[in-house]
Amino acid sequence: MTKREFRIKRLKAVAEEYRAAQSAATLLGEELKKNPSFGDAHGWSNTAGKGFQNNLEATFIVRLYAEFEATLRDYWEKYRERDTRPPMYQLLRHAIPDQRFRQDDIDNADDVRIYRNHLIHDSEDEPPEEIVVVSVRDAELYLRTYLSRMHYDW
Amino acid sequence: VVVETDMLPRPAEFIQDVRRAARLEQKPKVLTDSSKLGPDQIAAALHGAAIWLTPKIVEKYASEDFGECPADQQERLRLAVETFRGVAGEVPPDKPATGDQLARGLTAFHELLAAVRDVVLREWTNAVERFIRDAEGWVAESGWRSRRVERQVNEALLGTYPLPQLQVFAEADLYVFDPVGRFVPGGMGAYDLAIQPSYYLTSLYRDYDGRWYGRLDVGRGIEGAARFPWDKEAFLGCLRELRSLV
Repeated sequence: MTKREFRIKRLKAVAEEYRAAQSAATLLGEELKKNPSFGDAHGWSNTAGKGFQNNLEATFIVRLYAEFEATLRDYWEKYRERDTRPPMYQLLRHAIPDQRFRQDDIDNADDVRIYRNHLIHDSEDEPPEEIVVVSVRDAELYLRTYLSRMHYDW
Repeated sequence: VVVETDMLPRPAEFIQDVRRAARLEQKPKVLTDSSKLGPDQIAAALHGAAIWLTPKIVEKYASEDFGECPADQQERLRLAVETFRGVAGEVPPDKPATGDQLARGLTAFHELLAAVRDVVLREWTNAVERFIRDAEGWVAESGWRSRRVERQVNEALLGTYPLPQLQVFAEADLYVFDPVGRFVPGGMGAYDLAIQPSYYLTSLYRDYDGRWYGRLDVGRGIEGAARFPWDKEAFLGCLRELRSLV
């Protein structure tokens, strides 16, 4: 398995975990309806249970992006043999892509970066106009497509 | 390869600005996919997200840059730019567009997108036709066979459109020219050339001078991937090198 395949597989695994977590959240919701103090016996409050459900998508966007960022940094340091640490904007948009990348694939991956930054830094606010809200399904697709254009022999 | 937009030739910059605006205009559709937003927020986003409605989008337009287009396309583009510039210029930079401005702006913007799309697509598909025809000629001269297959490509601004994939049957090997797209960093279109089945490929792209170049980076790492002009000799060299890797 090439490193590229390995990294793409990790993204897929996180997205699959998200689907499992969605099922778990549904089951938890049903349980909380029947027994609102269900969390008390397990050391968490009803509010935390609701927070888990509401923030599930955001949590997995952050995780997917963390995998992606680690991949790009690894590619930059190990494959491109650079000892610099460019900001992700530079790395994602300029330093890594060459003409084998479609501009749409770069822009889509960058939409995930911008949205993730919003989730991390301003999660209490509504997204500003220039932010595209990206679902976990789309984020996985966008980041995977980006990685698939990186060099195979990395 | 670091590509900064300020290095682009002027017509390419204009086209990129319109393409970026086309993505922005499509954003509210993306917002509706999110379970995090309610109908009120979506309505507010639709109304407030008219950030594409600015004359800046057409700032880099110069009619003389499109002198090689057919006269009717040139005229349509000129008119679309003028109309859009007029409507977008009515919106104060510090206030949101009114309903009327938004409606007229949207009509003008869609006409602008259609006009630019036609110009870009005509030029790009003509370039691809010449590129593929050259390859077909080299294949025939070498006594091999080739076959065209239509592929659907989808890109911002251009939408979904067909481009040819070329399959080359050279003795026992299959090579495929596969379209990447018109919008790629640092170029005006790209194709992959791969030996199948494998990961190995040559990246072929069209530079801003309109010429095609190759970059055979297989087995060398990206730093060793110098570009070379695309011609028959380069084509045959790429096939040999790809063949040696499988």
